Amino acid sequence: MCRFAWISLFLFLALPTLAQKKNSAPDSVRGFHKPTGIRFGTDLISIGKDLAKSSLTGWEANADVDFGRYYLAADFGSWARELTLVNGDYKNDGRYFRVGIDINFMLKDPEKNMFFLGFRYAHSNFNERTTYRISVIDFGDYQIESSNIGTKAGWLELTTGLRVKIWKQFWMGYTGRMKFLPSLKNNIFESYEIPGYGRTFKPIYWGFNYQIFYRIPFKR
Amino acid sequence: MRKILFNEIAISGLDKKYYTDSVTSVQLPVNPSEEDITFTFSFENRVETLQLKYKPITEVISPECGAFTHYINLDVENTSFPEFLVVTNQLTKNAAVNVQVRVD
Repeated sequence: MCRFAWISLFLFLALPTLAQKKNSAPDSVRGFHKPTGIRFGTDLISIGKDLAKSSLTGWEANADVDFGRYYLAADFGSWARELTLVNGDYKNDGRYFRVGIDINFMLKDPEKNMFFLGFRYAHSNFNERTTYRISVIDFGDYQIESSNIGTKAGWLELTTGLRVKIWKQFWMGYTGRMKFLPSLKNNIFESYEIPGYGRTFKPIYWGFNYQIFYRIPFKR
Repeated sequence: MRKILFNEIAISGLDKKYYTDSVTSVQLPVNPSEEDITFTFSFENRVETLQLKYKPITEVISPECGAFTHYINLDVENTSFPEFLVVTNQLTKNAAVNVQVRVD
């Protein structure tokens, strides 16, 4: 985590330099243009959580295509959580995707470095299960098992972040996201967590991805 | 509202019987593994039944607080009492009254 923080700092310091160096270039990316390439990436924080064997495991793949200053962005991820409750356990497992647009504010950078704002629509499809013990007066102790199968949820996101070219076709950067307006259809029990979003009872959730990208240019 | 001495209250799915002094209300448990329950009241040389239905809902609060079951959509499915009223259709530990019945 400390290493990520230092890389973030490096990116912040690098940006003004990049912006100044290209100040004299003509403003040729305002508006829509034919795409010049596609970037594929992944979230390093998800990989780190997997390696750290936290209660949350998963991965996330990202892609974006440039249309001038506008980028069509899509993410696909997997999320599984296992929790030990004071009276049982809880598990979820799901897949989610996000699609949306990023607007690049580094207009004059030919290396596709970005400082962007954007929005996403996100959708999650997941299963969850809990097993727990309760004690009812006179009826005694019961073990209850409840499952939600095929639960669907959606939400919206506002995003911001950086992408900086680090070497040849590789970019690094981060995406901060404000997730809001979660909606879901409950089945048997009230969903505890939406994969890709977080706890269902929070109307706003913050997310953060630290990503590495590989760009494949389109042939002209 | 007059007081009643129940000679016996039987609950479906439970061998235990309940007995009361002269009371105007009784507090009774529901079966967490079923979605309906029948109470049989014996009092004043009468036997009356009250069948309730409800929906158990699981909620996970947090790892520290755990999960629990709460009950919603409480309704009277069948009864031999001449009149009834569902006052509160959610079962909670703090609910004052869920169902009122008229005995006369």
